[in-house]
This record gives sequence, C-alpha cells and structure tokens, in this order.
Amino acid sequence: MNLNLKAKVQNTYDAIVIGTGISGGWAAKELCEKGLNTLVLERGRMVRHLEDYPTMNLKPWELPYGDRLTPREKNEDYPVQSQTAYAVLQSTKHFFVKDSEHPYNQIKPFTWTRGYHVGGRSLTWARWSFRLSDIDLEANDKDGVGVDWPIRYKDLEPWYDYIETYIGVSGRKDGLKQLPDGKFLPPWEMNCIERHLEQKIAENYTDRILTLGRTSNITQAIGGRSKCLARNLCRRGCPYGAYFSSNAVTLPAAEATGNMTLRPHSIVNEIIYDKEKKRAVGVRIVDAETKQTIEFYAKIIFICASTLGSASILMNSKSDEFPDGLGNGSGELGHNLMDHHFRIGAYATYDGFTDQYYKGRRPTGVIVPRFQNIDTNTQRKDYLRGFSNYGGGSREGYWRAGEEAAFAFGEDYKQRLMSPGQWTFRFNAFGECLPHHDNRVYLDYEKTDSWGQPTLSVDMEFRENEMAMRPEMMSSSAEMLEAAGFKNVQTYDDQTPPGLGIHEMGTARMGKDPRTSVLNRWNQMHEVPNVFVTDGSCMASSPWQNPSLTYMALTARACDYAVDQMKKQNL
Amino acid sequence: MSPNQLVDRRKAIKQASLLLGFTITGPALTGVLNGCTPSKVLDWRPSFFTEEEAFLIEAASARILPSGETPGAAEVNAVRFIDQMVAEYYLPEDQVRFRTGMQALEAHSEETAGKSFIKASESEQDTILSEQALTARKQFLDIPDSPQPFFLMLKELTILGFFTSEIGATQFLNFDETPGGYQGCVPMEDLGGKAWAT
Repeated sequence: MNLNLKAKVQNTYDAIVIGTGISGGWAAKELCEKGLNTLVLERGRMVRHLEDYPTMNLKPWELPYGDRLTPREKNEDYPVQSQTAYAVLQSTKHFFVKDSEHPYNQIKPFTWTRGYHVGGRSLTWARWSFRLSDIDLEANDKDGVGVDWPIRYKDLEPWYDYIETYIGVSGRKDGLKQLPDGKFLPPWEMNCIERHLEQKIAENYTDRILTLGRTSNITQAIGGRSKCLARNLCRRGCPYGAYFSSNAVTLPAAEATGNMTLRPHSIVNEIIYDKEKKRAVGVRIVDAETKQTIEFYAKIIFICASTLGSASILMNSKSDEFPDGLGNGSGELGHNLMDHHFRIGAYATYDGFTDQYYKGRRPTGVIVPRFQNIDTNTQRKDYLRGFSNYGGGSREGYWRAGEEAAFAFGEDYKQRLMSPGQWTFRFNAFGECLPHHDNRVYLDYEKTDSWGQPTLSVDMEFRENEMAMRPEMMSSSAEMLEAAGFKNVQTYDDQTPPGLGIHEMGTARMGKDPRTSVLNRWNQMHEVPNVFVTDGSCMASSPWQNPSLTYMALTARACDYAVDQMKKQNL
Repeated sequence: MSPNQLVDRRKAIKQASLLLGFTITGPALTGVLNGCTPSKVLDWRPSFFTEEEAFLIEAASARILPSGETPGAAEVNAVRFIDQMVAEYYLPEDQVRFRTGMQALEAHSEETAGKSFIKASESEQDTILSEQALTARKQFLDIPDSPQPFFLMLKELTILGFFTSEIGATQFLNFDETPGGYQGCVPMEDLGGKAWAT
C-alpha cells in the first residue's frame, strides 16, 4: 500500500504532454515555462539537437548510392514512404519509421509518412509557415460544410504574432486578405526567372500575385540561433538551428526551466478516466524497449501525438462512460480526416537570362496564393474553397531533360554539363480538402503491432470538390507560364493518394456543439475538460495553407487557457 | 564456371542479341565466353564485376565522360562506384540485365570491330556506344514500360558517380558547401561560368 502510494507520487506530475513534434514541443515549452512540472512522453527514441544529426555535415561523396534509397529499401522498409520521393533518402531515413515495423491498414490507399523520435516531423517538415484567414475560418459556416470553426482570426492573431516572433518566420508582406501578413523576418530573394514571372503575372492578372514562400528558415539570427546559411539540407537536422524544430527551439526552452521530464520510448496506450471525478487522471504507457506497462498521473493532459496518433490513443481509451473512445459522445472521433491534394500543375522552360545564375540554395520557393472564391469577383461555379500554386525556378544541373540529353555522351556532352542548363520553372498546386464524415480512421484489434497495440485502419478518399478544382489547378499553372513567355509548357497530374501531403487533419475536430464536435474553442475536450488536443486532429477544415504554424498558435493558446483555468481552480 | 552458369550465360547473350537487333556469330560468342583476357591486372577488388567486366566498364564509362583538360570518369574511379551500385543498389533482376548488357556490349564490339571492347580504339568504342545508344533509344521509345536499357543504366551510374564524387563536384563543377545566404540573380561570369554541383 505504502509502496504503491510512493510509486504513484513519483509518477505524478502537474501536466503530461504526449508527443514531441511541432505541437508537443510547444506544449512542453509553454507548460514548463508557466511553472508546471511536466512529463513529456515520446513513443520513439531520443534525438538531441546537433548530437543526433549524424548526416548533417556529410558531403555528396560521403553518402552511399548518391543519397538514393535503394530499391530494396524501398520495397522492404519504406514501400509507403518512398512514394514521397523527396523526403526519405540515405541522409534522412533515420528520421522516418520503417513501414515494415509500424503496420497500419489502408482500407483505401493512404500514404502515411511518419517519424517516431523526439522532435517527430518537426525535423523533416517543409517549413512553410502560413496564417489562416477569416475567409478560411468562416468557410464551413458559409458553405454549410462540416461544423463552424468556434474561433476566428482575431482569436488566433495574437498567438500567430507570438509564435512567429519566437521562432522566426521570413516572408514578404503582401497585404492579402486571404493570407494575413505576420511578424516577418526579411524575405528570401527571387531569382531572375521568378522575378520575370512575378512581373508578368502582375501585368497579366489583377486577381493574383507571385510572392515568396513564408518559411521558418530564419534570415536573421534569433534567440541564440544563427541565420540560415542556405545549404538547403534541412531534413538532416540543422547545425545552426536555423529552421524551427522542437529539437532546436521548443524542447531546449522547456528543458531550461528545469520543469521537464522527457521520457522517450513511451508508447501511450490510453488515457485513464475517472468517472467519479469526471476527469482524466493519467495515462497508461507501454515502454517500447521493455514492453512494461506503466501509469503516469497529472492534472492536465495535452495530446499532441499527431492527427492519427492522437485519434488512435483517444479511440483506444475506452471506459463505461466512453465505450467508443474518450470524449467521443459526438461520434466524430476518428472521422473527417483531411489531407491536401497536390502533385498537379505545369512546368516549362525559358529562353533567356542565360548570363544570369544564382548563388546559394534557398530553402523555400515562391507561391501564387489562392485567388479563387475570395470574393464575388473570384467566385467559382464548380467548386468551393481553392488552392495555391507553389513553385520554383532554377537552371538545369547535370541531369538534363529531353531525349537528346538522355542518349548523349562524350567530351562535348561532358563540357555542356559544366555550365548550367536552361532556366526552368515548375508549379505544383496544393488544394483544400473538405471534411467528410466517411473519411475516417478506426482501430483494428485483430491486427496488433509488436507492442500488442491495435493497428490503425485508414479509410479515406478525395471526393467531388477536391476533384472539381484539379482541372483549374493544372490549367492556371500552365496559363501563367504561357502568359509569361515560357516555352515547352507541359501540364502534369501525378495523382495523389491522401496522406502524401503529410498534412493529416480533422479526426478530433473543434466546434461549438458537443453533439457534433470533439473539442471546444480552446482545444479542450467538450466532455473531459482536463484533456486538450492541439495537433492537426483539431482542424474543422483544412484550408490550403501548410498547417503547422496554426498548430503552434493553437497549442500556445490552449496552454495559456489551461494554466489560467488551473489557477482559477477550474481544472 | 559451373555448367549451369554457362547455360545461363549463353541464354543471356542470346536475349541480349535479340534486344540489340543483330545476330551474334560464332567467334564473337566464343570470345565472350572465354573472357577477354586483359593484359592489365586490376588493382582493386570488385564486389560484382569480374575482372574483365571491370575493365570493360572502366573503358565504357571513360567514353561517356572522357578525360581531357578536365577530369572524367577515370579520375573519379567511376567504375568502382558503378560496381558498388550494381552489387548493393540494384535488385537481382537489374543485376542480370546489367550483366547481360555488358556481355552484349562485348559481343557488339567483337562483331563490329573484330576485337574486345577494351582493345578497340577510342573512335571504335565511340561508334559502338553510339550504336548502343541508338538501339537503347529505339527500345525505350518503341516498347512501352520497357525496363531501362543497358546504355542508360551505364550512363546514369556514370553520371551519378562522377557528379557526386569530390573531384566531379568540386573541380569539374562549382561546389559551395555553406553558401551563407541566397543571391537570386548573379552574373554567370562572377561564378566562373560553372554549374553548381548541388
């Protein structure tokens, strides 16, 4: 009895944070800085900033196979994630799980890309950092789709300010109502071909602009982190801490408070619910190494295990009160899964600017922010919401397009490769995905993983509205390039199974009504007030924007609210 | 060589000759099977190639990226990179196609130049590779979903090996490990007229 009590005291904290990715890192930092003794649980291994980035300084000749994943590795270890061709390489593969070790069930094709380690996908994200606008947050209400967001831009704005100021986001102020400006560091530069395209778009269109990506690669030193030195090797981990990751930014801040206990190898199995207290009292984990089950207790719990991870934990937290998963009175838990659809657009070449080049490897691109369904002038008949055309211009390197180049060899050919090739530009449009109740995940208790946990089944497809906007995603890309005098304009549609966007969202959506949503306006479970879910699962819609900045803002906001409520003895 | 390997090798050569669109006659076939008895001795140990194959690929890759005033495949030991890729990177079926391609290349040389590829002159080697490129192009364009032809396998590995090597990246091209920032428009002449390696 005494021993048990002692163990319970030892395993009791003020707060538990589940997950160390973009949301979990922020929850850890905010709660620790507010003085809470915080246990941070991560299902994967430890990754320390700098010391656990084994490839960060390797040169091309120090990496095997030209940095390519071998076909054998693709077939055996990464059959799913190798489809995201740019992400999993020899130099980055240690930041992605092996598909073979973490099975899930694709009821329909769903390309789940994950990294189970401290820092999660904050190490490998694309770093684009965009704010949502009221056009996005009001859309569900206006269109009668899903449920209305319980918040508006004014609720998020101070938190976007706070996050951007802290992490550093470089960008250009564009004054667009569909893409609010932020607290930016100086933007990156466009190269010649992009400046040309920017100018031609300005001459040819009144409804759109080409602008620079807004990215968490910092263009000035900030908070003890050096400015980005334009190596563009970010996914290996940055020796300068020059882009936002939990490892470089939030977890060191949390650790510095002395209030954080970080426990890797901790697979959260379920949230423990006490029906007398009507509160969650703790979590039950499986130690990934020993397979031992351990319980930890706290007053508040932040679930930041990623959209599909958090949904899995909540669905697996069954009790008499919540037989269908914790806080799932609405029946919406695990439903309304969204991801962005993309891999469609156009590419082209340009004759000219042959005496111009660039220096450095810019870690971001350029973008034509959404220009559809912004107002009555831009209203489309055939689809709701819209897309943005992401892009980038460059000169060809030693891999050259075209049949002639493919079969050429010899001294003249070699000499041609010494100089850069022609200018090229490629657009890749990213589109919003509407929430749909039938796009869902659920647990399969028949098929368990190596830790005896049920596996996740994913049943999602892109539907009519997504498909209806794709023709314009392609045609608008080609038209802008043609209007700017590009040659050899070619369109493409590489199709996207959901998941490939790596922007899973929506499985525990926010809303005003406990009957139709899982979380309230503070990312707090309607039915279990001391549990907060602040990762992508909270999203009531998927606007086209890369979502991570919004997760950070929502997390910091929810932490502020939770601690305030604790102080007021409400939690 | 076991009898089984011999049979496989005969079969492989037959298939290769079909792909290349000409018939391999008796002497050429014999030449391949006997190996090309190089006069040099290999100073490294290949993982996949036989000694003859290593000399063959060394010679062929040196015609794809020749050495001259600037370094080529020879200076970066591209053949060693190619050997490692075929041994460790390629799947078994790709290894078979690569080996068959090497045999066909050798047979092609025997047939048209009357000698082993490595004993052919540079201009004879270039003629042979041009014909291989033409055949590969035809195969690639005419047969939908056809696997990568041998010529393109060889070329891809040579290019990858050369340009990701230290000499290829830093001497032939411009390599800037830590640029320090990004300048969007810089006159070519300020950069020595060279392309970036990465």
